[in-house]
Amino acid sequence: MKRAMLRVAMLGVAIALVQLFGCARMPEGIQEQRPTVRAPPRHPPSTAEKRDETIPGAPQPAPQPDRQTGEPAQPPSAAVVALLDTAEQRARAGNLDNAAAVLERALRLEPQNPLLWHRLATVRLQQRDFAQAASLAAKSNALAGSNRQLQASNWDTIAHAKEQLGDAAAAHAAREKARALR
Amino acid sequence: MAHNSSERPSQQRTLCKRGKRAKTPRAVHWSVLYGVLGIMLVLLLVAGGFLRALDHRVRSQFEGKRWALPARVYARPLELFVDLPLTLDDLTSELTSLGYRRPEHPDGPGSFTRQGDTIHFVTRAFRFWDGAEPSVPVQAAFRRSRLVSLRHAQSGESLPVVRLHPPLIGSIYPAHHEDRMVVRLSDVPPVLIEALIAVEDQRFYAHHGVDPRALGRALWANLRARTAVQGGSTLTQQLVKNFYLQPERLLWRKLQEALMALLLEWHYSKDDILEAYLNEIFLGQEGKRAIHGFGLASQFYFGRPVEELTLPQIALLIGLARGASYYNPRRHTDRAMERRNAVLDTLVDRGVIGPAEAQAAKAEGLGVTPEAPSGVSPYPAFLDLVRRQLRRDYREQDLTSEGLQVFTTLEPRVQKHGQQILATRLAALEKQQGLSAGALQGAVVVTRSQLGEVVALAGGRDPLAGGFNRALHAVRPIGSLIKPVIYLTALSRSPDYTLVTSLDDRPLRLQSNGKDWTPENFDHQYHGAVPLYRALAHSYNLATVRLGLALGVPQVVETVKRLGITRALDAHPSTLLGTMALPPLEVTQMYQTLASAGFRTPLRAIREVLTATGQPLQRYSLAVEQVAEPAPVFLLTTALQEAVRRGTARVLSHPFATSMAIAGKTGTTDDLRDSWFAGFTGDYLAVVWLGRDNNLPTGLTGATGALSVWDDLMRRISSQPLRITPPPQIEFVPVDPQGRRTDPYCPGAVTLPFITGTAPRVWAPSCEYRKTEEAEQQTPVRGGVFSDWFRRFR
Repeated sequence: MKRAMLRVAMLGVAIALVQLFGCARMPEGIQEQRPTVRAPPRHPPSTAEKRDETIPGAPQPAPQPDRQTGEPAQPPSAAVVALLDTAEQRARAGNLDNAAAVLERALRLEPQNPLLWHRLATVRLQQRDFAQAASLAAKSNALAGSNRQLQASNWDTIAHAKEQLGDAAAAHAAREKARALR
Repeated sequence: MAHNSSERPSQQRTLCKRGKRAKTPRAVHWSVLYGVLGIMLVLLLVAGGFLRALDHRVRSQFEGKRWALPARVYARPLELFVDLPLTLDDLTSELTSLGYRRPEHPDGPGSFTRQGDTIHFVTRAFRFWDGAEPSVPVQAAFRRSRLVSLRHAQSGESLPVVRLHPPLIGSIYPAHHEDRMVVRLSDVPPVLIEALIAVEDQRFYAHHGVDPRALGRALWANLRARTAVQGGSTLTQQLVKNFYLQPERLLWRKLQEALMALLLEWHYSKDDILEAYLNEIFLGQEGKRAIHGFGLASQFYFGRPVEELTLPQIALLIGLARGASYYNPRRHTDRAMERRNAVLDTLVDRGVIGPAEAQAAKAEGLGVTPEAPSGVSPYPAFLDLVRRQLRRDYREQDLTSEGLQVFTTLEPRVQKHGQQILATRLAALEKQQGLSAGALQGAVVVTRSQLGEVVALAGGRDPLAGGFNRALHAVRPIGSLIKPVIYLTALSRSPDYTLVTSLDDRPLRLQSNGKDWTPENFDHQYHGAVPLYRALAHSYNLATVRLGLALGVPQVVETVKRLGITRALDAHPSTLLGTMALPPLEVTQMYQTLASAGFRTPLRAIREVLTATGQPLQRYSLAVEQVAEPAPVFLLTTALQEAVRRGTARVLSHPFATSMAIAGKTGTTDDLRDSWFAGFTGDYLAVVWLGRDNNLPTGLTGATGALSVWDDLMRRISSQPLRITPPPQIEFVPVDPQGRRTDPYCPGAVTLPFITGTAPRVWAPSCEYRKTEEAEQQTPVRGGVFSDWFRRFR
């Protein structure tokens, strides 16, 4: 039973990592003589999920890989995959502080990896540190590029956090953003 | 005596009676008996009280905190993984500094061998905040300054990540400077215990604290030699002497020592006593620092943990117990060698080892590291910051006595380069400026740009000098380092400001702080209408002051605060040109927020604190707060990259800088008193300040001074180009030098980021034939492009 759960979780991690390939990395700074005007390609709106009923911190369905974006990102390193896996195990065992510490370790290896920031945000949500959960999810969004699924998950996290913080308007706005991205 | 109380009313009479009775022989007999009994009772009571007091002392000290243990401060642990930018030599020097030995073949934890571009090593087990790291045999291969393969040396299975134990970079000592690393009995090699008992106290497991036979033997030997040649003290007595008593050779002390030894044995097991002995015994001295116990002595003499000691090393340490100064192996090699070999002979005599083993051990050198590892940190400036952060949460007394393990963010490689480059560059700049040697000073702060971890900090040119830490305490005007804050304030007001908003760089006169003020550009020229990004890149003062005044000085100061500055700040127009004074560390905090997309992360020097036994105590977790929108920060960063490519920091435009896409800003203050540079790449942010302690001019601008230090440093440490993921609302639009929309292939076109919907709608004339229709449908909306729009109809 446990092993099966572990496999499911690892699959979730793997899917989540695959979608990292979809993160666009724009060329830095000012580019001369290069046509770079492009709008992010729009996804056909996916079937809306009932996000409102999600329990804060409950494992969320892994976002689908974003195949339509242009540039390939570096593949996720085996080190980060291993640390994410460790963090998942610790979180599932209820050791959330430890899971956060392991995620921070992973962030030291890949500080620009939006998935790691997202996972840290959800751990904080589970710990009921709502202000940090919202901030970390926003940070993940700042790095998420055109990865719409990850952005939507981050907005979900923000919506839950804002709700708990008593900011109904911000929670509503965040939920709308999540919906628009799906 | 008891009967006296019943006769209290007639005490006088009673005494008389007694007096009378004393005259009879029988009465005399009784009174003597009473007297003797009384004296005995008093003596017994006194002795009992004394024993009770001794007993209390023995127990309370043994059970309570036995030793005041200094806090241990560690650098970051090196984490190895495939693709890590690291050379084989880097790893070798890390392992060497961690006390790894290099035998023919890897022979257990803490050893390594090299072959070609491959290295074999066995890590040491270590307990971290997030769990224990077991010892693993590893095979790693390197190619082109990168780690390309990481495998289990036996199974061949690939290892995703290997964490080495962290280097010790300092200790926080108690006033008496007694230093030790407590070991558990189970950590100590059994042969060490056997050898210790064989040499110091053969009947340790048989006696009860005092060994009359050994005492008798010693007495006999001393009598025959007519001087004290033999001790006869048991290990327990030696422990008592070291632990509780002053070193005096009085008979009374001897008696007290024996009594306490008996009491100690009465209460505690042999193992408890042995473990205390192993940690208490004095084994060396380094300056003011006294080296106690086998745990620290093992590090002190051999640079390795006690588990990894070899037989000859064990024999030497045991020999030192008799006189650590006399047999000091670094100072008196021959004496130490003789003593070690005598110990080995004793071990053969007493059957602990065989003669062949002893022979092999004697053939070995002493194996002592040439330099004693210093108890003084090589990085005192960084430790200042660590202490400052620790003092917020811990009492000084706990820091010097609880043996806390403090895990910091220091990266020794970056720290070493920072110190060394600052010193050599300052010397070169002094020569170049004709300044006397030592006139210039400086400070460097380096952080991981996304995480706010301080990885290096130099507080002056002499890293070991201690004293005034300029990185923390030199509060200096920041000059043009304020400008990005002004431009961020502007760019946050979208759509009012974009990167091509036209700014006015013409003469200006105004009142600041009650005085007439006519700011000038550094080149004393006026540049007329300039696009915003270029005004920042070239650090035009007049355009910036006008912009700041339009935004409002209090609003700019508000942005400074949001970026992470907590001290009280004035808001004068001159603030816009950087009269605001901050220490380098706080400037770093401000730029940290810019480097991490507008998310403020408090700078941290400490990750975790563990107790002496490795129990998690406190973690300083990564916390972020969004204080600026990512989109304007993205625009600002683009302009700061332009400053490095074509602006005031263009001396950085060599291939390295270009490929790293550096974003940065120079800062220079009046009369060239302060030279600043703050900049970041994909992995590191560094802030450099140069100036003089007496605040006289240096002759250096930000570009000719601080930037050169920054450049040297980043070339050595940085490997990740600055590649920022554009926030979703950013689009890229090609514009011409006047800030008009153009086609990307038009001459002089640059592609700039804009928040969606804010890009100029006016087309440049040269390429308009392609877009006339489209352009005519749109109307210009922003003042910044009005002149361009106008020009179109010229």
